Parts: sequence; C-alpha cells; structure tokens
Amino acid sequence: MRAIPILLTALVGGFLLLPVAVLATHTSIAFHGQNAVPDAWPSLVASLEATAWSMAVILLLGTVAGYMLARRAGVLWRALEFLLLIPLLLPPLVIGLLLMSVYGPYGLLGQWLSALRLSATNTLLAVVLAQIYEAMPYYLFAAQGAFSQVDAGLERTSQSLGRPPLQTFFRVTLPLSLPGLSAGFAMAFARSIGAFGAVIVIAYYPHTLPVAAWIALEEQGLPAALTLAALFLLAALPLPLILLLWRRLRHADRFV
Amino acid sequence: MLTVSCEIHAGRPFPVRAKLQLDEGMLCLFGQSGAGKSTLLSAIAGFLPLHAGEIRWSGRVLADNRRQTPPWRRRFSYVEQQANLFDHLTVRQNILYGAPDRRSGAVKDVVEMLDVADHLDKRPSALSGGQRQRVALARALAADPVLLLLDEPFSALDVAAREQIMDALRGFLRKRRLPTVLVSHQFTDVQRFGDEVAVMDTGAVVQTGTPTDVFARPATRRVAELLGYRHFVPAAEGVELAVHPDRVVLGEFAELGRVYGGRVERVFPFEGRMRAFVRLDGGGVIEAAWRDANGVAGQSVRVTLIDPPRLPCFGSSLLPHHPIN
Repeated sequence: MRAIPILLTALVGGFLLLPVAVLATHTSIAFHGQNAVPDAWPSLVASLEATAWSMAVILLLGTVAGYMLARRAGVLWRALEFLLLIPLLLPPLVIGLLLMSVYGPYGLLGQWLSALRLSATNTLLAVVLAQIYEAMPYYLFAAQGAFSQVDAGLERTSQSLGRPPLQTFFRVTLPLSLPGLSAGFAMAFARSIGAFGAVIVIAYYPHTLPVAAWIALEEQGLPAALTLAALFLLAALPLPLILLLWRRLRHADRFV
Repeated sequence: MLTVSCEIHAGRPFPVRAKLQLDEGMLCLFGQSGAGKSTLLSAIAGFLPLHAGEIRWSGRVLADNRRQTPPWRRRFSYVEQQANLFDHLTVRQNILYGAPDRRSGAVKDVVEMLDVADHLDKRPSALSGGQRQRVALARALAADPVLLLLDEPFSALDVAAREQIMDALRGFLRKRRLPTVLVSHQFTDVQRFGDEVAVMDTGAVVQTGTPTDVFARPATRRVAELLGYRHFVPAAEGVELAVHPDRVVLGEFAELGRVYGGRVERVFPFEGRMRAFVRLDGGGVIEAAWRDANGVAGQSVRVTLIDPPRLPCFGSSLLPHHPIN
C-alpha cells in the first residue's frame, strides 16, 4: 500500500524525464550538426537577444504591476486581476493571431508603427512582443504572490523610521520577495525563450530556436530537430536552474 | 506638543472622533478591541487620512482633511503589536535601520537598556517573542524620534517580561523626555506606564485623566465596566455604587468605604487566589477576595467596599461627549 504513492511518483517522473534522457543520449548531433549548425547559431542569437529584451520589459513592468495588484484593494483592481488571467489561458496560436490583428500591417497599432517606419511582423520587435505576451502573466502573478507575502506592516514600520516608499521597496519589500520573484522570473524566462505558437504567426523571421527546430523537423526530419532541441536546452536551462539553486541555498541559510 | 482634534472614517463601522493633547509624558489610549484606539494611533502616525479636523505637532499642521505630511517626514516612531522586524537583516542592522547617527551613544544606551546586546549578530528568526519585541523597541528609539507611538507592544509578552520592559522603558523615556502614546486594552499596563489615560469606546474618547483619577472616578457605568468594575449596587434613588473585585475587603472598615452584610454563595479559584460571590443583604451580588478555599455557602460575612465610585443609574453619562467642531 505504501509503495503505491512511490510508484505513481516514479510514473510521473518517468513520463516527464524520459524524453529528456532520450535527447541527452541522442548521438546524431555530430552527423546532423553539419547541416543544422548553419541555422542554429543565428537562431540561438535571435532567441537570446529577443528574450533579453522581453525579460527586461517583463521584469520592469511586471514588478510594478505585480506590486500594485498585491497592495491595492477595491473592485476595479480585483476586476483587473481577473481580466489579466485571460492571456494566461489563451492558446499560443490564438495569441499570435490576436497580436497580428493589433500589430500587423493593417492592425490597430500596426498602422501607427508603419508610420514610424517600424514593423511588428517578421522582425525582432515582433518576436519580443510575442514573447512578452506569452510570458508576462507568469511573472506578473508570481510577483503579485511574492509581494502579498510581505506583510504591509513591515513597510509601515520602514516608513515610520524615515524611509520613503521607494527606499522601503528596495530595502525591505524587494529583498523579502526575491524568492517568489525569482521563481516567477524562471517560469517567465522558460516561457519566453520557448515561445513558438505566437511567434511563428507574427514573426516567422528572424528564426528563433523553437521556429528553427520546427523548420528543421519539416525539412530535415527528427534527428536534425533534436539537435536544435538539445541546443535549445543548453540555452534555456542554466538560468532557471541557477535561480532554483540560489533559492534552495538561501532557504537553508535563513535557518542557520 | 501633539494636538489632536479629528474625525477618522477609514472604512470603519463607526467613525473615530478624538480631542487630545500631549506635551510630555505618557498618554495611554485605553479601551476594548474595536474601540478605535489603533485607528487613532495610525492616523497620528500618518497612515490613515482624516475625514475632518487636524493633527498638529508643535503648532504645525501635520494633517487635515485635504493634506497629510507623510509618515517618513514626521519622525514619529511607530511600534505595532507584531514586532515587524526585517527578517533579512541582522538584529544590529534592524536597530540601526532608522538611526540618524550609527555611532551615537544614544543607540548604545538603547541597546543596553533593552538588554539586546547579546543578540546583535543574530537574525530575528532566532529570537523569542519577547526578544523580538525588545529589538523592535530598540529600533524605534534608535531612530531618535520626537514622538513614540506604541500599539500594544507588550501584549505578546508574559507578565514578568512585560513588567520588566515597561519599567525600563518608562525610566528611559522620562530621562529622554520623549512624549509617548501607548495603546492598550489592559488597564494594569496603563496604571504602570501612563501619566494620562484617554478611555475610548465606540470611536469616542469618553473620559480623560490620570489613571488613578479615572479608576477612582469613572464618569459613566460604561467606563466603569471597561475599567473592570463588575458589579453595581443600588445606593440611593438614581445612584448606584460601582464595585471592583480588587477593591472589596472582608471585614468592617468603615473608614475605608461602605460596609455591607451578606452571605457567601460560592468560593472559587481566580488567577492563583480565591474569590467568593457574596449576596449582599440589601440586594445584589459582588465578588470579593477570599482568604482560603474553605468558604462555606450560606456563611454570613461583612464586607467593605473601598471608596466605591457613585454613578447615576441606567448608564446615563455624567459628562457629555464633545463632537468635533
């Protein structure tokens, strides 16, 4: 009887980790790499560059919005919080179609961008927009949760001791909410760098790694796509793993 | 000097209206939970807006219904019931958080007075509840405030720790001549700590005075109830005597107050001592301290009510409330 939970957990672990293990033991990188590499490195650079921009925007705006959602009360704020769940629930393909309708050449904002000689389709800007749209809700709600965990009484105390709100935020609120913010950042980063459904609709070019892997699958087959998938993991995993390790070490340190 | 004449709504079921002054010494806001004490203190600290009236410090308007000096500019240190220590900082860093001069002897004095010197390099999570509260007080004093606001800071402490900290703090505040407003729902704290007390009930200040005067002469039956007077004995037409269990002695001592005859109904333990319900010959039941556990139901006794306050019957107030003009 006691073995059943263990077996079920092993089943979950096996289901999730088996494909990763297969990828790790994939031996055809050397053979197909010669064909995949020409697309791989530009795609890697495009992915990293776009993700850097999108995460910078998400971090800045998501932190502010998450704080406001955590601290503000009232019907309007709760209604906004509910509405902001919608992008989180949209299928990525639908996100791409909606972004095209707004930022595409004939879209509501796309026409203004065109007037400014900017384009939000098939450009790095388009990739960034798609990544932000897909990843922002993950960070936003994680930030809201993290800030909610910080007792408002701590902020009152800091202010009564002479620290204005901005100093209080950086000296008290932010340090105490870092574990939650880092978890949200890791999730948003993974979502951003891995964005595919919306990106392929609004930004076929430049090829990000997920898009390049899809093209490799269609044109060269699974082994070539797996090569790019392995490269993608090498690019996407380190940051979230480092953040996870940091959180664990910090948690241990607090009780020393 | 702190001058308060204001009305605060803040989403409460009833507004808080108060008219107070504090020049120096310790003013205690006393009342039951929900009376508006913490709301008033929070408004003085600058965390709640005023609906009407104003709060002044040394003649300067800090807040009225249109503008508000923010809390970080008032130099009023505010200590709440939760210690609110910053867990990511050490005790030393907590104490120095708001200190204008980290090397000043004043900070050292505070650390020694509150006996937290041995904990400076620890994190708050390693401290007990009493130690955390000491550190919170040290932090508030190290910030060199012009007014100290304490919202039931001793309530989480055991009796011995509470008394020790209160005595040390009172001496320190007197020496520094730092005006202080303390919120408490325990009148024993008020008697030990306060120079003046404002009794609050349902958002209004219903009586002010020294703790001794207020306790000896509650203005209304409601105030008497808040102060722990449990029984009300008819004395004359339209007048009743308020009886506090700690102000009843066995025996006849006419020089101390009113003497009554009665019969013991029941003897019971209370906080390590014994008490008895005594039915008075003239009507009414009171509690009295009893000498031992061997009381006999029906036993005749003589009891003396020590200088019992005389109150009008049916809860009518001797002093009208003063609305904000």
